[in-house]
Amino acid sequence: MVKFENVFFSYNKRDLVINNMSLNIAQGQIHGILGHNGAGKTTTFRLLLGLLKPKSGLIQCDGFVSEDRNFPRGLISYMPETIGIYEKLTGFQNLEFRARTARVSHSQIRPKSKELLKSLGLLNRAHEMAGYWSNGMKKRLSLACALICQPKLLLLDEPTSGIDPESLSIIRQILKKINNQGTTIILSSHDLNSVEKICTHISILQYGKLIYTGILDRNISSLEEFYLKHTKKIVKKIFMK
Amino acid sequence: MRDILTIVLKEIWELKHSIKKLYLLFILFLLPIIFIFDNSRSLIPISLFPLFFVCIIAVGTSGQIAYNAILGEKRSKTLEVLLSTGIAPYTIIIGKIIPATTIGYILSVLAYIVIFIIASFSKTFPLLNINWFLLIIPFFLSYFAGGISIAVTIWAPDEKIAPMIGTLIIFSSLGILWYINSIFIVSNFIIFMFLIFSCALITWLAAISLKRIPLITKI
Repeated sequence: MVKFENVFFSYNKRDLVINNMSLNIAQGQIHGILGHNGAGKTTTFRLLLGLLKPKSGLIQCDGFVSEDRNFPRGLISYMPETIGIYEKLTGFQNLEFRARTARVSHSQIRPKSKELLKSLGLLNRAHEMAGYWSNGMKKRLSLACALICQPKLLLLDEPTSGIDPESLSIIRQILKKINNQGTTIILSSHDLNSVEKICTHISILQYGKLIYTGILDRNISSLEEFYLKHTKKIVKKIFMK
Repeated sequence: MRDILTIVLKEIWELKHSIKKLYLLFILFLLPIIFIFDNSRSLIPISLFPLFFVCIIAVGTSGQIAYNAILGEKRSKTLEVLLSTGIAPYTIIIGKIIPATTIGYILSVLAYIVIFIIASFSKTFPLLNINWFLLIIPFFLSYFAGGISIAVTIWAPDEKIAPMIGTLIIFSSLGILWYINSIFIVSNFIIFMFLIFSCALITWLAAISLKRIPLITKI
C-alpha cells in the first residue's frame, strides 16, 4: 500500500529531517509511527501526501508516486495534529466541504454526514459553528471530515493528543471499525497507551532515521519499555561517537 | 470548475458569518457623494473623477476581503488539509478570488449609479457616459487586487505586514496604469488586454507560491 525507498529530505541544505527511510506498509495495517518531537513524523506524512518533494528516493502509495500528486480523489485522507477544521462553518458544512473536495456524490453527502456525526456523538450539535465546540469535539469532527470520503489510506497526525477519555474511547472504536472495513491507517502519536491498544505494526523514528519497524509484539511487557530500550540504544551510540 | 465552485461555496459560508462587517463595507459605494461639493480646483481632472473613485472602491473592497482568504486558512491551520485533498492550487486561488471580486464589482456598479444620480442633478459635474470599458474595468481591477492580496499573504511571514505590502503593490500598479494612460493615451482595448494579462499573471504567481507553501512558511 505505502512504500518508502531510501528517502532523504531536508528543509535546508544542512540538516536532514528524513535520513534514508525505507518502509513498507501493507494494506489493512494500523501502523503507528513513534518518535520524539521533531523526529520527522509530520514531515513523513507531508512527503506521503506529496506536499513536500523528497531530495532523493521514491515514495509510492497504491502504485501512485506521491511527488506527482495524481492520486485519485479520496484515496488518501489526512487529519492534521492542529485539528484543521473551519471554525466559522458548522459541523455539517465542514463535512459537506470535505466531501465535495473528495467528489463524494451529492445524494450521499447528507446521509453519510449524519451517520458519521451520530457515531462520533456530534449529531445534536451539528448545526452549530464548530468554533464554539470543545477541543475533543473538534478533534472528533476532524476525524469525521477525514472519514467522509471512505479513504483507502487514512493518515492521522497525533489523533489522541489533548482530548478527554470519552473522546479517546470513541476515536479508538471508530478507528478499529473502519480498519475492519479495509482502510489502512497510519498514525503518529506520543500516546503509547493508545498505540498499544490500536496498532498492529509500529515504526520508531529518531532524528529522521527509522530505527525500528515491525509487528507490535504483544508479548512485550509494555510498549513504553520497548520504545525507551530502542531509543536509548541510539542515544548511547551517538554519545559514544 | 466543480472544485472552483466548492471553494467559492465555502468562502460564501465563511463570509456569511462576517455579514455585519460586510454591511459596513457596503457604505463605501456612497463615496462618490463627495462630488456634491465644489471640486473645480481639484488636482485630478474632473472628467477622471468617476473612474478614479470607482477604481478605488473596487480595488479597496476586493483587496481587503481577499486578505482573509489565505490568512484565515493559515490561522486555522486548514491550508495543509486543503492542499492534501488534491485540488489544484490554481483552482484554490481562483475560488478564493471570485467572492472578493464579486463583492468589489457589485460595490463599483452601485458607485456608478450614485455618480449617475449626482451627475444628473449637479451643474458642475458632467453627465457620465457609461460604456463597456467603464463597466468592465472595475471587475478586472477587483480581481487583480484580490489576487495581489492572496499572493502577498502566501509569501508574507507576518500577517501584520501583509496588508501593508499588498496595499503598496496594488496602488503602485494602479498609479503606473494611470501614468501610462495619461502619457501615451493608450486605447481602451490595450488597457483591457493589459488587465487580463495582469490577472492571469497574478493567478499563476499565487498558484505556484501555494504549491511551495510547505517550504515557505509553517502551515
